[in-house]
Amino acid sequence: MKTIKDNKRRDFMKVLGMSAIATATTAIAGGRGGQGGGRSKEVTELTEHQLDELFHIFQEEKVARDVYITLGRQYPDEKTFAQIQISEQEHMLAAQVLCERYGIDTSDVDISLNDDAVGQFVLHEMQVLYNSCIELGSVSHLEAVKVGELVELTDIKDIEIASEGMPADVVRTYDNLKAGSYEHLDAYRNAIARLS
Amino acid sequence: MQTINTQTKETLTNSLLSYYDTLNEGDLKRLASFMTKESYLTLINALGFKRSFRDKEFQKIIKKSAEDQASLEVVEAVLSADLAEEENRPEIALISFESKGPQRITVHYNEDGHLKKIYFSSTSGAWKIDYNAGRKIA
Repeated sequence: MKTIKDNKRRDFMKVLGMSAIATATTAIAGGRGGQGGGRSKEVTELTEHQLDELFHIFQEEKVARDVYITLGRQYPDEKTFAQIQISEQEHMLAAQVLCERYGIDTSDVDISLNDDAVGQFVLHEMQVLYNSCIELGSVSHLEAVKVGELVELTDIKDIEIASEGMPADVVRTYDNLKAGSYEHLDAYRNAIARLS
Repeated sequence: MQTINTQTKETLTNSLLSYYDTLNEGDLKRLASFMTKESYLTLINALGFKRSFRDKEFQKIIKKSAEDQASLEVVEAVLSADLAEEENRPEIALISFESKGPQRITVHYNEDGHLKKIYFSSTSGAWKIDYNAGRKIA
Protein backbone atom coordinates (compact mmCIF):
# COMPACT_ATOMS: atom_id res chain seq x y z
CA MET A 1 0.00 0.00 0.00
CA LYS A 2 1.42 3.35 -1.00
CA THR A 3 1.01 6.19 1.45
CA ILE A 4 0.39 9.86 0.76
CA LYS A 5 3.84 10.47 2.19
CA ASP A 6 5.37 8.17 -0.43
CA ASN A 7 3.57 9.95 -3.22
CA LYS A 8 4.64 13.35 -1.98
CA ARG A 9 8.25 12.25 -1.85
CA ARG A 10 8.01 10.83 -5.35
CA ASP A 11 6.47 14.04 -6.67
CA PHE A 12 9.27 15.96 -4.98
CA MET A 13 11.85 13.72 -6.62
CA LYS A 14 10.17 14.15 -10.00
CA VAL A 15 10.35 17.91 -9.67
CA LEU A 16 13.98 17.65 -8.66
CA GLY A 17 14.64 15.33 -11.55
CA MET A 18 13.56 18.01 -13.98
CA SER A 19 14.96 21.18 -12.50
CA ALA A 20 17.32 21.61 -9.57
CA ILE A 21 19.24 18.44 -10.33
CA ALA A 22 19.98 19.63 -13.84
CA THR A 23 21.97 22.50 -12.36
CA ALA A 24 23.80 20.38 -9.80
CA THR A 25 24.51 17.70 -12.37
CA THR A 26 26.16 20.14 -14.70
CA ALA A 27 28.44 21.13 -11.86
CA ILE A 28 29.32 17.52 -11.01
CA ALA A 29 29.82 16.50 -14.63
CA GLY A 30 31.38 19.80 -15.09
CA GLY A 31 34.45 21.73 -15.43
CA ARG A 32 34.62 23.45 -18.76
CA GLY A 33 33.30 20.35 -20.40
CA GLY A 34 30.04 20.28 -18.47
CA GLN A 35 27.75 21.75 -21.06
CA GLY A 36 24.84 19.32 -21.01
CA GLY A 37 25.05 16.55 -23.58
CA GLY A 38 27.09 18.45 -26.14
CA ARG A 39 30.67 17.64 -27.06
CA SER A 40 33.07 20.13 -25.55
CA LYS A 41 36.56 21.26 -26.49
CA GLU A 42 37.93 19.05 -23.73
CA VAL A 43 36.57 15.82 -25.17
CA THR A 44 39.30 13.46 -26.25
CA GLU A 45 39.10 10.14 -28.01
CA LEU A 46 38.33 7.24 -25.74
CA THR A 47 38.98 3.61 -26.50
CA GLU A 48 35.99 1.32 -27.08
CA HIS A 49 36.68 -0.23 -23.67
CA GLN A 50 36.65 3.17 -21.96
CA LEU A 51 33.37 4.08 -23.68
CA ASP A 52 31.87 0.79 -22.49
CA GLU A 53 33.10 1.60 -19.00
CA LEU A 54 31.36 5.00 -19.02
CA PHE A 55 28.09 3.36 -20.02
CA HIS A 56 28.45 0.67 -17.38
CA ILE A 57 29.15 3.18 -14.59
CA PHE A 58 26.06 5.15 -15.63
CA GLN A 59 23.94 2.00 -15.34
CA GLU A 60 25.49 1.20 -11.95
CA GLU A 61 24.63 4.63 -10.57
CA LYS A 62 20.95 3.79 -11.04
CA VAL A 63 21.34 0.82 -8.68
CA ALA A 64 22.42 3.04 -5.77
CA ARG A 65 19.69 5.60 -6.46
CA ASP A 66 16.95 2.98 -6.65
CA VAL A 67 18.15 1.14 -3.53
CA TYR A 68 17.96 4.37 -1.50
CA ILE A 69 14.55 5.30 -2.92
CA THR A 70 13.15 1.90 -1.99
CA LEU A 71 14.78 1.74 1.45
CA GLY A 72 13.75 5.36 2.03
CA ARG A 73 10.14 4.33 1.46
CA GLN A 74 10.53 1.43 3.88
CA TYR A 75 12.12 3.62 6.56
CA PRO A 76 10.56 7.06 6.05
CA ASP A 77 11.93 8.35 9.37
CA GLU A 78 15.51 7.74 8.24
CA LYS A 79 16.37 11.10 6.65
CA THR A 80 19.74 9.81 5.42
CA PHE A 81 18.03 7.88 2.62
CA ALA A 82 15.92 10.87 1.60
CA GLN A 83 18.98 13.14 1.46
CA ILE A 84 21.27 10.71 -0.29
CA GLN A 85 18.77 9.55 -2.91
CA ILE A 86 18.66 13.13 -4.21
CA SER A 87 22.44 13.18 -4.39
CA GLU A 88 22.47 9.79 -6.14
CA GLN A 89 20.05 11.16 -8.72
CA GLU A 90 22.63 13.88 -9.39
CA HIS A 91 25.39 11.28 -9.66
CA MET A 92 23.44 9.21 -12.13
CA LEU A 93 22.65 12.24 -14.27
CA ALA A 94 26.28 13.37 -14.12
CA ALA A 95 27.33 9.95 -15.42
CA GLN A 96 24.68 10.29 -18.13
CA VAL A 97 25.99 13.73 -19.14
CA LEU A 98 29.44 12.20 -19.44
CA CYS A 99 28.10 9.39 -21.64
CA GLU A 100 26.31 11.84 -23.90
CA ARG A 101 29.36 14.05 -24.14
CA TYR A 102 31.18 11.07 -25.61
CA GLY A 103 28.36 10.21 -27.98
CA ILE A 104 26.99 7.24 -26.04
CA ASP A 105 23.28 6.68 -26.49
CA THR A 106 21.75 6.21 -23.02
CA SER A 107 18.13 6.00 -24.14
CA ASP A 108 18.13 2.24 -23.53
CA VAL A 109 18.13 2.79 -19.77
CA ASP A 110 14.89 3.91 -18.13
CA ILE A 111 15.99 6.27 -15.36
CA SER A 112 12.56 7.74 -14.73
CA LEU A 113 11.09 7.78 -11.26
CA ASN A 114 7.98 5.90 -12.32
CA ASP A 115 6.94 3.04 -10.08
CA ASP A 116 7.58 0.49 -12.80
CA ALA A 117 11.10 1.84 -13.46
CA VAL A 118 12.51 2.23 -9.94
CA GLY A 119 14.04 -1.10 -8.94
CA GLN A 120 13.89 -2.54 -12.45
CA PHE A 121 17.09 -3.22 -14.34
CA VAL A 122 17.43 -4.65 -17.80
CA LEU A 123 20.76 -6.22 -16.87
CA HIS A 124 20.50 -9.32 -14.72
CA GLU A 125 23.63 -8.62 -12.62
CA MET A 126 22.32 -5.20 -11.63
CA GLN A 127 18.94 -6.68 -10.76
CA VAL A 128 20.76 -9.23 -8.57
CA LEU A 129 22.64 -6.45 -6.81
CA TYR A 130 19.52 -4.34 -6.27
CA ASN A 131 17.46 -7.31 -5.04
CA SER A 132 20.24 -8.30 -2.62
CA CYS A 133 20.39 -4.79 -1.17
CA ILE A 134 16.64 -4.63 -0.67
CA GLU A 135 16.48 -8.11 0.86
CA LEU A 136 19.26 -7.25 3.32
CA GLY A 137 17.92 -3.77 4.07
CA SER A 138 14.41 -5.03 4.69
CA VAL A 139 15.56 -6.93 7.78
CA SER A 140 15.75 -3.83 9.96
CA HIS A 141 16.41 -0.12 9.98
CA LEU A 142 19.98 -0.70 11.19
CA GLU A 143 20.64 -3.29 8.48
CA ALA A 144 19.27 -0.86 5.90
CA VAL A 145 21.81 1.84 6.75
CA LYS A 146 24.55 -0.80 6.84
CA VAL A 147 23.53 -1.69 3.27
CA GLY A 148 23.99 1.98 2.42
CA GLU A 149 27.50 1.83 3.85
CA LEU A 150 28.45 -1.23 1.77
CA VAL A 151 26.91 0.23 -1.40
CA GLU A 152 29.04 3.36 -0.98
CA LEU A 153 32.22 1.37 -0.31
CA THR A 154 31.53 -0.68 -3.45
CA ASP A 155 30.83 2.48 -5.49
CA ILE A 156 34.08 4.11 -4.37
CA LYS A 157 36.07 1.04 -5.39
CA ASP A 158 34.30 0.78 -8.78
CA ILE A 159 34.83 4.46 -9.54
CA GLU A 160 38.52 4.24 -8.65
CA ILE A 161 38.95 1.33 -11.05
CA ALA A 162 36.91 3.06 -13.76
CA SER A 163 39.00 6.24 -13.47
CA GLU A 164 42.24 4.51 -14.38
CA GLY A 165 43.56 5.75 -17.69
CA MET A 166 40.60 8.06 -18.33
CA PRO A 167 41.08 11.63 -19.63
CA ALA A 168 40.97 14.63 -17.30
CA ASP A 169 37.30 15.53 -17.74
CA VAL A 170 36.15 11.99 -16.95
CA VAL A 171 38.50 11.76 -13.97
CA ARG A 172 37.20 15.09 -12.70
CA THR A 173 33.59 13.88 -12.89
CA TYR A 174 34.49 10.58 -11.26
CA ASP A 175 36.43 12.39 -8.54
CA ASN A 176 33.30 14.43 -7.83
CA LEU A 177 31.25 11.25 -7.66
CA LYS A 178 33.80 9.68 -5.35
CA ALA A 179 33.85 12.73 -3.07
CA GLY A 180 30.06 12.51 -2.90
CA SER A 181 30.28 8.81 -2.07
CA TYR A 182 32.66 9.55 0.82
CA GLU A 183 30.14 12.05 2.18
CA HIS A 184 27.39 9.44 1.88
CA LEU A 185 29.63 6.92 3.61
CA ASP A 186 30.08 9.31 6.55
CA ALA A 187 26.33 9.87 6.71
CA TYR A 188 25.60 6.14 6.78
CA ARG A 189 28.29 5.56 9.40
CA ASN A 190 26.75 8.28 11.55
CA ALA A 191 23.36 6.62 11.14
CA ILE A 192 24.85 3.23 12.07
CA ALA A 193 26.41 4.74 15.22
CA ARG A 194 23.10 6.40 16.13
CA LEU A 195 21.12 3.16 15.72
CA SER A 196 23.64 0.74 17.24
CA MET B 1 21.91 -2.75 -39.64
CA GLN B 2 23.71 -6.06 -39.73
CA THR B 3 21.73 -9.23 -40.14
CA ILE B 4 22.05 -11.97 -37.56
CA ASN B 5 22.08 -15.46 -38.99
CA THR B 6 20.07 -18.38 -37.68
CA GLN B 7 23.06 -20.20 -36.29
CA THR B 8 24.15 -17.17 -34.26
CA LYS B 9 20.61 -16.71 -32.96
CA GLU B 10 20.60 -20.33 -31.88
CA THR B 11 23.97 -19.97 -30.14
CA LEU B 12 22.85 -16.85 -28.26
CA THR B 13 19.53 -18.39 -27.28
CA ASN B 14 21.31 -21.44 -25.90
CA SER B 15 23.72 -19.19 -23.97
CA LEU B 16 20.86 -17.18 -22.51
CA LEU B 17 19.03 -20.30 -21.34
CA SER B 18 22.25 -21.85 -20.07
CA TYR B 19 23.02 -18.66 -18.17
CA TYR B 20 19.90 -19.11 -16.07
CA ASP B 21 20.24 -22.89 -15.86
CA THR B 22 23.79 -22.72 -14.55
CA LEU B 23 22.83 -20.01 -12.05
CA ASN B 24 19.95 -22.13 -10.80
CA GLU B 25 22.16 -25.17 -10.51
CA GLY B 26 25.06 -23.25 -9.02
CA ASP B 27 27.30 -24.48 -11.84
CA LEU B 28 29.61 -21.48 -11.91
CA LYS B 29 32.44 -23.25 -13.72
CA ARG B 30 30.15 -23.84 -16.71
CA LEU B 31 28.74 -20.34 -16.45
CA ALA B 32 32.27 -18.92 -16.69
CA SER B 33 32.78 -20.73 -19.99
CA PHE B 34 30.27 -18.61 -21.89
CA MET B 35 30.93 -15.25 -20.24
CA THR B 36 33.80 -12.82 -20.70
CA LYS B 37 36.16 -12.99 -17.74
CA GLU B 38 35.38 -9.40 -16.70
CA SER B 39 31.62 -9.97 -16.79
CA TYR B 40 31.93 -13.23 -14.91
CA LEU B 41 33.87 -11.50 -12.12
CA THR B 42 31.29 -8.70 -12.04
CA LEU B 43 28.53 -11.28 -11.65
CA ILE B 44 30.45 -13.11 -8.93
CA ASN B 45 30.67 -9.85 -6.99
CA ALA B 46 26.94 -9.21 -7.42
CA LEU B 47 26.05 -12.75 -6.37
CA GLY B 48 28.39 -12.49 -3.40
CA PHE B 49 27.04 -9.17 -2.15
CA LYS B 50 24.63 -10.73 0.36
CA ARG B 51 27.23 -13.03 1.81
CA SER B 52 29.84 -10.26 1.89
CA PHE B 53 27.42 -8.17 3.89
CA ARG B 54 26.99 -10.86 6.53
CA ASP B 55 30.43 -12.41 6.53
CA LYS B 56 33.49 -10.14 6.78
CA GLU B 57 35.91 -13.01 6.11
CA PHE B 58 34.11 -13.78 2.86
CA GLN B 59 34.20 -10.08 2.02
CA LYS B 60 38.00 -10.13 2.28
CA ILE B 61 38.26 -13.21 0.05
CA ILE B 62 35.91 -11.92 -2.65
CA LYS B 63 37.88 -8.68 -2.82
CA LYS B 64 40.95 -10.71 -3.81
CA SER B 65 39.12 -12.99 -6.25
CA ALA B 66 39.80 -10.89 -9.36
CA GLU B 67 43.57 -11.31 -8.99
CA ASP B 68 43.92 -14.51 -7.04
CA GLN B 69 42.72 -17.81 -8.51
CA ALA B 70 42.70 -19.60 -5.14
CA SER B 71 40.41 -16.91 -3.67
CA LEU B 72 38.16 -17.12 -6.72
CA GLU B 73 37.82 -20.87 -6.26
CA VAL B 74 36.83 -20.43 -2.60
CA VAL B 75 34.24 -17.84 -3.59
CA GLU B 76 32.90 -20.04 -6.39
CA ALA B 77 32.50 -23.01 -4.07
CA VAL B 78 30.57 -20.97 -1.49
CA LEU B 79 28.35 -19.23 -4.03
CA SER B 80 27.67 -22.43 -5.96
CA ALA B 81 26.26 -23.98 -2.81
CA ASP B 82 24.20 -20.86 -2.06
CA LEU B 83 22.76 -20.74 -5.58
CA ALA B 84 21.89 -24.41 -5.65
CA GLU B 85 19.91 -23.92 -2.44
CA GLU B 86 17.96 -20.91 -3.62
CA GLU B 87 15.56 -22.69 -6.00
CA ASN B 88 15.01 -19.65 -8.16
CA ARG B 89 13.79 -20.63 -11.63
CA PRO B 90 12.45 -17.65 -13.55
CA GLU B 91 10.38 -18.02 -16.72
CA ILE B 92 12.45 -16.87 -19.68
CA ALA B 93 10.82 -15.89 -22.98
CA LEU B 94 12.91 -14.73 -25.89
CA ILE B 95 11.73 -11.56 -27.65
CA SER B 96 14.25 -10.39 -30.24
CA PHE B 97 17.84 -9.95 -31.34
CA GLU B 98 19.40 -6.56 -31.99
CA SER B 99 22.72 -5.97 -33.69
CA LYS B 100 24.79 -3.34 -31.89
CA GLY B 101 27.49 -3.25 -34.54
CA PRO B 102 30.23 -5.65 -35.54
CA GLN B 103 30.66 -8.43 -32.99
CA ARG B 104 27.93 -7.12 -30.71
CA ILE B 105 24.37 -8.36 -30.24
CA THR B 106 21.76 -7.58 -27.62
CA VAL B 107 19.14 -10.22 -26.88
CA HIS B 108 15.83 -8.89 -25.60
CA TYR B 109 13.81 -11.26 -23.44
CA ASN B 110 11.27 -11.49 -20.69
CA GLU B 111 12.15 -12.74 -17.21
CA ASP B 112 9.02 -13.45 -15.18
CA GLY B 113 7.18 -10.77 -17.13
CA HIS B 114 9.91 -8.12 -16.91
CA LEU B 115 11.74 -6.87 -19.98
CA LYS B 116 15.43 -7.71 -19.83
CA LYS B 117 18.46 -7.52 -22.08
CA ILE B 118 21.60 -9.56 -22.24
CA TYR B 119 24.62 -8.34 -24.16
CA PHE B 120 26.96 -10.50 -26.21
CA SER B 121 30.28 -9.79 -27.86
CA SER B 122 32.26 -11.99 -30.19
CA THR B 123 35.99 -12.47 -30.27
CA SER B 124 37.61 -15.04 -32.55
CA GLY B 125 34.18 -16.25 -33.60
CA ALA B 126 33.03 -17.15 -30.08
CA TRP B 127 30.00 -15.32 -28.69
CA LYS B 128 30.18 -14.60 -24.97
CA ILE B 129 27.95 -12.79 -22.50
CA ASP B 130 29.52 -9.39 -22.01
CA TYR B 131 27.85 -6.91 -19.65
CA ASN B 132 29.94 -4.13 -21.16
CA ALA B 133 28.72 -4.70 -24.72
CA GLY B 134 25.42 -2.83 -24.47
CA ARG B 135 26.69 0.25 -26.25
CA LYS B 136 26.11 0.52 -29.97
CA ILE B 137 29.35 0.74 -31.97
CA ALA B 138 29.87 1.79 -35.56
